[in-house]
Amino acid sequence: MATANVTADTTAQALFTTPKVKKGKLSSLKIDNQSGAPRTVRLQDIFTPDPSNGTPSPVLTTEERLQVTVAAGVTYSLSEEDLRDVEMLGDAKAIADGIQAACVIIVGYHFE
Amino acid sequence: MYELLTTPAIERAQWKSRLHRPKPAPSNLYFTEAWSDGHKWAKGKYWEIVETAPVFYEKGYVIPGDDFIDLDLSNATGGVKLFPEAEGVVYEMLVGLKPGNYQVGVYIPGPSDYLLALGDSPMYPDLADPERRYLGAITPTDSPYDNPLLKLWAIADMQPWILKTYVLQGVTFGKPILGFRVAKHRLVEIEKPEVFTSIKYFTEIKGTW
Repeated sequence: MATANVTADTTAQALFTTPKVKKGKLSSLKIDNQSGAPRTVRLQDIFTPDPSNGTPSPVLTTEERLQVTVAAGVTYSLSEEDLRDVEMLGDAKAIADGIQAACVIIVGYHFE
Repeated sequence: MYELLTTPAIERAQWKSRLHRPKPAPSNLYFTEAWSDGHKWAKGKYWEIVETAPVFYEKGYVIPGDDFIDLDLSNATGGVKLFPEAEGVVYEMLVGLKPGNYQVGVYIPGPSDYLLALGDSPMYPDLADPERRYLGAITPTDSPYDNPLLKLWAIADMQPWILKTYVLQGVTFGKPILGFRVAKHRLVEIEKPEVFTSIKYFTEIKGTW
């Protein structure tokens, strides 16, 4: 299992890129918010679909896969069981509602 | 030509033993007389596999829900290019599907030419129809990635196999991932052997019957 570690930022922070012939599966998520305010963190899946019958000229697409609000001073965790149905098809990124180095986001992941 | 293996074959062997290869494994092939004259080198003749090389390949596609792509497996421009280029060579392909909310329809020679249908005239696959879109479809359960059961044969300049890959209604996007285990076989012509595998032309099994 691999892990990625970023801090809360209003610009989407790269977690991992899913290979073209795999799906990204999250094994764990931990958000340690030691800042002085609650933080809302979203996990985004960013990809350009392949040309299909209905969409021959696809464009870059962002899908929101998960959103969590963590109170100040709290460490929030989700297990593999909680994350079972979350799949990443492209670039996995984390984006928050504030820039805060004391709010750390750690995801465990693997490819299937 | 086309085969979706059934339960007894599954019980007999893992996927590697579903492929032909040189003796002592099953190695004799027969291309039926139904093959078109464009394939005179093969049609109506018996062949022995003298050399085999397995080649693996994977393809993945992100497709919106209730939408599809036509995956042309031939060497045509835009094709996946899984066909041989020379006479005396046949490719035996097992196609496995990773789990997901999608299905695959087998078409040949064009994207509207379904291979699998039933006898009653309207009983052919049609993605525009909410019922018949599932007719003849192969799902990841039918031919799992690690245990592929869908087998296709290809020779040079053959009409293209087309896998109509459809992501089910109800998901925003799906990612069908197809694994191709291609066994490249080099052939030499032989007299009619006692035991052989018949490779039918698609016209022999296609359509409503």
